Amino acid sequence: MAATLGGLMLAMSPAAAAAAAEECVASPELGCLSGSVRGGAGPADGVVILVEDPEGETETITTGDDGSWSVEIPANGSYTLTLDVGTLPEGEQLADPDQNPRQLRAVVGATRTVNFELGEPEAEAPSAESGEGGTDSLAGEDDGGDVILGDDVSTSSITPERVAQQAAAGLRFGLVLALASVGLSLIYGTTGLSSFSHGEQVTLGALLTYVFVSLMGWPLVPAIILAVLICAGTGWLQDVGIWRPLRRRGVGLVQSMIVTIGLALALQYLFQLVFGGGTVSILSYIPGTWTLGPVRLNIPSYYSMGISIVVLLAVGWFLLRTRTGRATRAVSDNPALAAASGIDVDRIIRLVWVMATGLAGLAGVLLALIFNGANWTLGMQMLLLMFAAVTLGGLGTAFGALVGSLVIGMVVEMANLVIPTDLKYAAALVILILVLMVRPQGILGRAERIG
Amino acid sequence: MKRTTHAARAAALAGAVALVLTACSGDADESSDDDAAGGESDGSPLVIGSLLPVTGSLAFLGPPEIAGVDLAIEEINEAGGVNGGDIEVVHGDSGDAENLAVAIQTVDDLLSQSVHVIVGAASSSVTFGVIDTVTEAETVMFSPANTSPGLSGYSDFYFRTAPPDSVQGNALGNLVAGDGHERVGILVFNDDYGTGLRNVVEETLVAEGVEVTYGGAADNEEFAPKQNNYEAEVQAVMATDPDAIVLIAFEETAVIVPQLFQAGYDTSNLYFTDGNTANYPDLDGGVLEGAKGTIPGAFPSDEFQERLLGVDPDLTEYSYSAESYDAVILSALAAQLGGTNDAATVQANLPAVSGAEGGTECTSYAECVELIDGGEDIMYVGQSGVGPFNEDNDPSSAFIGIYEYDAENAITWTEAIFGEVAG
Repeated sequence: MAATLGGLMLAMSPAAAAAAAEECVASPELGCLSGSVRGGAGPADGVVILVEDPEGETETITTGDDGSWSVEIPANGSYTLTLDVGTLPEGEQLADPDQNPRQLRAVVGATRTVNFELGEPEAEAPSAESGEGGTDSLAGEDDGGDVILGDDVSTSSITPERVAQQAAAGLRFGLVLALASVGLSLIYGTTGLSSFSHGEQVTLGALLTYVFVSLMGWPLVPAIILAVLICAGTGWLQDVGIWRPLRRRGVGLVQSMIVTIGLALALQYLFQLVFGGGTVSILSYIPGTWTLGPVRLNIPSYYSMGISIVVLLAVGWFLLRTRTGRATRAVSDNPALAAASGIDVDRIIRLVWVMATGLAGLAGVLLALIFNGANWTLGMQMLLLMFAAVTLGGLGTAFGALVGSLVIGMVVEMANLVIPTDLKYAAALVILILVLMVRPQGILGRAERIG
Repeated sequence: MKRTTHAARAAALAGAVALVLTACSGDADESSDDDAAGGESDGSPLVIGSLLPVTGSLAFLGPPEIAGVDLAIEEINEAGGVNGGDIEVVHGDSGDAENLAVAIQTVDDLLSQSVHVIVGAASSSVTFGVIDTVTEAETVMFSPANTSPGLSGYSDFYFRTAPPDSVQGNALGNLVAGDGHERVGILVFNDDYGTGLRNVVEETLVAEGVEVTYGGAADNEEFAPKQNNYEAEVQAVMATDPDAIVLIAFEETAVIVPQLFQAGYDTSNLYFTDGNTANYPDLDGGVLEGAKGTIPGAFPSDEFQERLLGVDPDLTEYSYSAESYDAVILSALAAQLGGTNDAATVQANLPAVSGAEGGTECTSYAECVELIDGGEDIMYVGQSGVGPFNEDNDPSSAFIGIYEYDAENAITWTEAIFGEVAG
């Protein structure tokens, strides 16, 4: 079968073969050699290529308008390609004349791509031979013609639009991060505990919403509300089941912190067990985008920023203006004194746990919507950033957590303008160190303490 | 430290294997002190063990690979077996890299049953986890699907019918250049697989005169794996104004594609690799339409698919089935050429039957055995289309499949590209 085809092919006139070759598609009985001839000035048409098959028969191929050519390969073997340089467009030459003629193996059943590049023969070399200024600048101009953005991409690609875009992304990330950090800060303020399981509360919110929306088909808003309520419920359960008994027995803060680390690990692997290691997305479609000036973010981002601002204002109002809020601040100031003046310390602490885990759950939902997905490590990745934000802003101050989160969010999203992209989280933590060296109490360390 | 553990384990294994073998030989009439690598020319059968994923994250690759092995066993035995005896197979589960204990357990099992060749594993990481144990027991390890460059020339006892990533990188680079793209951004995660493949893609693109605008080897622009937030990376690559983006990642793809889409990138100009060329039913219809990806290996011919279905009627995927089939056929031919059924013979003769020293092309076991019996050198040209083994025991050439996304974000095979393994 293959032999017959091969015979037919070779019997055809070159022109017919070239025409047929335009559509060469490899099949189990047929292979293809194909490629293109092009250079800085675009594709070159009408270039003649001689293809010599293993039996020494030669076929002539002419490139099409788009500079492409292809030839059918009826049998396995070594083929020799010779580009007729006389047929190149005027002023063009092969960038690598050593590669002509070219000998290579081709087989039935597959396409092999062979491209001929046109251009200055020493196009690769000039930077090494800086003495030859003439060729050098010519090559440079050629490049400049196609390329709007110059040579050094890493610096010249920083445009005001990109800075604005990434700053907006930083603001978005910072606001949502603040939701989670404020809770962490409140827990630290009232109980002195650094809760390492706070990240998993973030993951929980995202995954619960995924269950309600994607698996159970609920509308988004009720799903989010229920997920946040359940998250808040887990805060209540934790306090009843773990933290209050531990406080009652007088377990130290370090020991309690180790408990939170254990809880975090247990929850992480529980999530992985239930949801697998992959990314799940809450919405079954990719949300649209809105463009505001130079900034283009997806629609959930705008809602998330709005929700974050409203919720953060509500938390601030609660802490400053309500009786319970004032009691909360009193507890973090001095639990013994607060208890003596009639405040139910345990009740306040439980409320703080409920609030903190609810806020973390909300942050998780919003992050999953902004980033179009969540996985079991979502919270783990956020946790260090939250600690950084809380410490940066001033330990235990709710507004410090907000300011710290905004700084961390901005740094994370904008770091890759100046440093390698996989160092972006490291940059956030370096900023933390620098700020603490100048202001050990954090940015807002003296302002509005929770107590 | 690690080495000691491996050595200790291997020693223990070798001891166990020797014991088991001695026990077996004691029952048999004549043979005396054979060890695992020694010749068993007393007509004992060639035993193939499979270490293929039945469970774990790569379990979807298991059925076609196992069907490929079973089909080869069936055809070899129909053609009269190896050195006069029927070839035997012991199937085992490789699990995945996250549950390496499964593979370790299976390898212990297989070695205790004195298999001569282990076909597997599918994942390069799993192979790295057990290869020392297998090769120190002087058993042939023959993977149908490993593409890690780190396994090239790893051991004299390690072979594969899948090409190292350099071939795929080259094919992908040529595909992108051939589609007429002139400015290409590479989004690559900071992982051995990613950066290794990136280097080859970049080299190929640059050689074709294509400008790599982002993510080149000198740029330090790899991203950290397993994040949820890729906004900064997406903005950075978009700022370089590429007309195509090569995305080299695993699971991260599901998060990055929507973020690229929302940033206004024409996602039909995306190129994937075998790490992420898969169906994405969760994405909006049409988002990936026109995007392309590469997966090493030949797409099995209809006729070969029919034969596989004869072994396992429930097959829906055919990835690496041809490579698994060829691994078994090549092993059997090597034993046949050497005249004895043991691992050392298979190891010594594999390059020869693959055609490393030239020979008459043959395409089926029966045909090749006939040539061997006639005293001719052979070159087995199998279903996977890979070339003879080179000095590193890698196939010297291979097919890379090109897949294109349809409106349902599902991949369809479009063509095969032929590539040679450098060096």
